[in-house]
Amino acid sequence: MNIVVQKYGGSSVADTARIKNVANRIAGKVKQGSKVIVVVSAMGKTTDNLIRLAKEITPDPDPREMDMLLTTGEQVSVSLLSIALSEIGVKSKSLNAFQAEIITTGNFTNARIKNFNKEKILSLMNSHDVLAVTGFQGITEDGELTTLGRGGSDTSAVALAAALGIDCEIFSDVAGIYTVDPKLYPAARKIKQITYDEMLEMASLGAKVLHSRSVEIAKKFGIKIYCGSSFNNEEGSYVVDENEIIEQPVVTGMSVIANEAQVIIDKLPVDYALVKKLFEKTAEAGLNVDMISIINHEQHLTISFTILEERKEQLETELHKVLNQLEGWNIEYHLGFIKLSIVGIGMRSGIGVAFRFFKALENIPIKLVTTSEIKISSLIDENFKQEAVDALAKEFNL
Amino acid sequence: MDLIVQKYGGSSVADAEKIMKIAEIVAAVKKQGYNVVVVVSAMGKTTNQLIEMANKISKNPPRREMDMLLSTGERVSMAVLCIALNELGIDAISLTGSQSGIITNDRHNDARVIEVRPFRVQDEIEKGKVVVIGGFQGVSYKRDITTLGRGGSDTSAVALAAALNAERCEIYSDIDGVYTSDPAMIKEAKHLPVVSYQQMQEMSQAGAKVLNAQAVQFAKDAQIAIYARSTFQPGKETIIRHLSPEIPKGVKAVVYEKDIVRVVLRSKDIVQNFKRLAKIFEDKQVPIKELNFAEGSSEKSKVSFIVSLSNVYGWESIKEELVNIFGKKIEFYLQLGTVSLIGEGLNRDNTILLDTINLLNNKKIEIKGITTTSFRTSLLIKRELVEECVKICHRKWIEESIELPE
Repeated sequence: MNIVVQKYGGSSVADTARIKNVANRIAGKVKQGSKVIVVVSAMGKTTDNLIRLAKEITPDPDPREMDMLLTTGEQVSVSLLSIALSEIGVKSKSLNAFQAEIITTGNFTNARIKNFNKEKILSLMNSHDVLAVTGFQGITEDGELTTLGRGGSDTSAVALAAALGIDCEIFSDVAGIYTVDPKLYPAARKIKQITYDEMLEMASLGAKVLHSRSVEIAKKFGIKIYCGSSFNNEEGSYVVDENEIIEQPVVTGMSVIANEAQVIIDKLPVDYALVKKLFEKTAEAGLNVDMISIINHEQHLTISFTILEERKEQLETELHKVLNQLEGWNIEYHLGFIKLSIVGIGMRSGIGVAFRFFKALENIPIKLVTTSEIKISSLIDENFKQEAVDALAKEFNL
Repeated sequence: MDLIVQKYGGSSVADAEKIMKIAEIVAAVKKQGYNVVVVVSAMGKTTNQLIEMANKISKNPPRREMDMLLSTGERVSMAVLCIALNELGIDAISLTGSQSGIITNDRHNDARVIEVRPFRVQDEIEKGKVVVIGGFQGVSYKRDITTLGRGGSDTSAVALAAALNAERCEIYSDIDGVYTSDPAMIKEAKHLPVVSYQQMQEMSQAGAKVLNAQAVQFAKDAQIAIYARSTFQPGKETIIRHLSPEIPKGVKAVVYEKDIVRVVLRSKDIVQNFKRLAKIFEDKQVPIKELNFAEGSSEKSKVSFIVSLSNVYGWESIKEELVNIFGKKIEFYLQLGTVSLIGEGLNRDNTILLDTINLLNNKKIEIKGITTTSFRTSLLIKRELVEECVKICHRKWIEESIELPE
């Protein structure tokens, strides 16, 4: 049995006309002799609207009830898609997390998939051409509904593909992965193949095409992901193992995150247990802290890092939990930055990448730079955004 | 601690503000020392909007998928109500029909509750929580989601009240109880403070929307009193409970149903053909009512019945299939409605029926069919004449009737 897993994002199923379009695409795949497991997100802005409804009542709704609420979104889209498939003669059945037995951990709003009933899915595939499975959600062993956090439908799709050992196709309104966000740099090229590690860097750095967790799972199980558009038949991009890539440019892509804030905490005691506790708290709060630097001045420590500006208040709360007993320290926020990064596994063997990076940005004030084996990130005044993007894109032929 | 089951209809939970008000009412009852189980319908027009979307995609959507789709409506309202209760400091948990153990047969869109296994509900009540349950939905033994048809949330509430041995079941809607006719249509309709199970059942089956017929059946079997009240205008209520049989006192209510189709099959081999026809309705899970079977050996042998379209999705394609199979043998009379007079012992003599026929004849209302039972007399007429006919009958048999002292 030739099975493929496909995933369609919210904009691909935003209204009934688009749902019909997706049904036609799936029908095409079925005619070619494939059976399809299709994972679907909630229609368009449904999830946002449901969140807004809950927030009309309280800013801090119970997470279990939020999951009960939000999981309805995908159930609407799978049933409508299944209706659309039946209408064009494709034998289809919709499954929610309870029926597909997608078992997750019990942390509501941010659960992780543990396993699902592969046998049940395979046996249903015998009698159906298509199974439409709700993305983004699972159930605990006690039958409680959970959600997987933002971008969770990608994770559902890749996890299903991984369990069945088959490839995964992810469709959205973007026709693949670009070297640079085309809205920022119209001359950006589509990347034909990108490695898991590069994609992970790109995903965590702001490229919105694929959710990091799904790429981690794909990497762990060696599942090839195809990213394409549901609106046209343009060739998309593949996320693959690096052994499959024959020739690799030094830099594969660039990512840009706006509204970054630099946080500097000064005059902290030289106490690394405290540092550990500090980052533990920020991690628990789901704060994405990056570009960390710690300077030991013998008498005291200075810690600096970046966060998104919108998370400033939340950070403040977390910091005070750890630091409220201490005296003498101070904190500064510097706003109005972008984080601009270049990514490529070619950097590992390429020499002079840093030189070319600084050369391209020589007229631009750089606040901070951090590097990893396959990435260089820089914090730049947001007024220089376009100039920096253009310069780096030209330098590295993106 | 005594348990009360409350059910709130769609208009009671139409927006966040109304849900917050419901939460306050529930919180007050909880604080009086009751255990509370709340059954909710989908918010406002949600269900209709979902049906509309499905109809944009297909005229004949698979019934299983419709249930998967429609059951999301109650899940939204129950989760939001729980969030509101939490906000008021009340510990609450929402459960779907399947989590609450509402087991149904697999007749999708109009399923029957066959068993309630409310273990999870009981556990949560014991923890001191208010349990909020999505009405209208259940789960079949195949693990598929099912829905209970129009007014199904009432059934959920009463079935749960019976299974949990509740003290009573309170059904809240935008109407403060049961009237002698639809108060939205007949402004002279009189409020009824107490109605027997049987009368309520007859009224519901004949189209009264205030309570679902299966719900009344459950209440009758478990001898649980139903209190029908208005959510936002407290004061009057109707108690549906056991009443001792009484001396027949004529017509108690006038009830109608619109969206009726009459199906007539004429053929020689009528028994065989009807078996075939009935099988199709069974497969499509469309209930047939008022069956009239006239056996005979000639071409003129016929079977007729009516179908209420309010719970039928995809009627057009069912009709098409029937025409393909039976050709000219089958006829459909569309755009019909029924008007029913409800009251114990109505057919003891024929005076009420004959007077009604005369009255309608005088008003040039053509009667296309009549059925009578000991508790009900139903007239089949054109849909557009339903309102006029209800008015005439209500005036004659309720407004102008002399009430005997109790």
